[in-house]
Amino acid sequence: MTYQEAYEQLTFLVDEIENEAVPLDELPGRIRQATELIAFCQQRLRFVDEDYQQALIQLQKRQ
Amino acid sequence: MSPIRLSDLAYTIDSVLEENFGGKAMWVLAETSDIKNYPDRQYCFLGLVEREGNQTVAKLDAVIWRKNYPILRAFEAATGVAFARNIQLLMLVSVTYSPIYGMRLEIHQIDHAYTMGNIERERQAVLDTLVREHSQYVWLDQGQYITSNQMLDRPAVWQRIALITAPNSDGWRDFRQELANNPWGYQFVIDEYLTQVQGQGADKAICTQLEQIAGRATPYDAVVIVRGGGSQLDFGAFDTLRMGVAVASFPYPILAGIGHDRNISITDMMCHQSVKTPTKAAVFLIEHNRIFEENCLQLAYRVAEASRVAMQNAREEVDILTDRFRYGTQTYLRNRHVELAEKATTVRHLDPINVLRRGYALLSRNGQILTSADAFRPGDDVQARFADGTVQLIVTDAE
Repeated sequence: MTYQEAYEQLTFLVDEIENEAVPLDELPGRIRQATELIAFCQQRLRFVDEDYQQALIQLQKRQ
Repeated sequence: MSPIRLSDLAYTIDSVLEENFGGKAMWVLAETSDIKNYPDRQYCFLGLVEREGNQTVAKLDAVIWRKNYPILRAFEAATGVAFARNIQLLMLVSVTYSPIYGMRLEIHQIDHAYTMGNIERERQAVLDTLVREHSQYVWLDQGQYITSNQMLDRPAVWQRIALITAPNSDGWRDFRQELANNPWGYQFVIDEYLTQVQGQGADKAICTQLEQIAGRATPYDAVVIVRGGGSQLDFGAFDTLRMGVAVASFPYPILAGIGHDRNISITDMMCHQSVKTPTKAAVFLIEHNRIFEENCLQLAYRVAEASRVAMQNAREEVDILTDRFRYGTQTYLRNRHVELAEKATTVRHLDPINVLRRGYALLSRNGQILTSADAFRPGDDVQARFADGTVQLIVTDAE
């Protein structure tokens, strides 16, 4: 799954909960899904951040 | 007729000349031919000729004596033309005769303005020819001469250079040192095409090198022509038609640093970029490359900054979604509780036991609950069921 896909799915889930369009029985499942998607997005951000920090260090070296 | 002695003839000639030319000086136009200059002794012998086509129609010997000797240096300094053969000059001369050395013209002055005028005229004639006969390479635009060499695109960086200069000259040294010692550590690949760059024939020599350069398989980023700035003489080669055409039409940008203080030569006007000295030519190349490097560094900063912003935005978006999720879920569950509680309350309200508690009673006769007043007759035995017990009642009246 791509970050973009995860983010879009998460948005959809949250919209549904806010609009109370989820039947109560399905709520636990949705909550679990949303929590997983949030974790996925945050982890991706952390990876990219590390790459970015590395690139910054390389740049500083070249000055 | 009795023969006369040579010396008598000579003295007669002398007096005739003295009579006609004695004490007179006149301005004469002539071309220099062979020159025997003795700078340490401060005099100069030369021949003056007048030519028509290839024919010499007049020739006289001339001399510049010690008292007039400074006019040579003065002429060179003023016009930038080296005192040499084959130059047209306007000179103030007087006719002298000595029985031993014969007739000579003594030169007193040389007119600078005439020579300068000639140079200007010749230069303009060359420019006119260039525009007229080489219009695909040279043209006039609002009084400015534009050439195809000027219109050539510059590469992002100058790296491969063809250098035309005199071997072991100041120009060679200045240019190469400035490039080698540049503060940014830029490297250049320089192919040298060493040749004569001043005096007669320099234009042919330089053009030969240009042809060689154009004929090479690998292209150059630029051709640099430099000349030491020490001497301010002998730039004539750079004003020739041959140089003008070669430079204007050349396929690689030509950078000229020929060290000409005062004037701009035709080469300067035709080339891609003209600078004052060989050192400045090197600086020109280095600064262009530095601008490129600075642009790269700028781009690097912009990439870093844009990345930082993008990441920050992404993080914020996820944080916002996470908050909405938490709050949304909470709200959802709270609402379900509230709905349920309302339902429970309604149910409780409707529970008969609670209705009775509120002061209502259930009336029944013979075990049957009656809900209408019509159903009762006076004298009926009625059970009244209250929340806390039952009471037997007898109906007295019914309305």
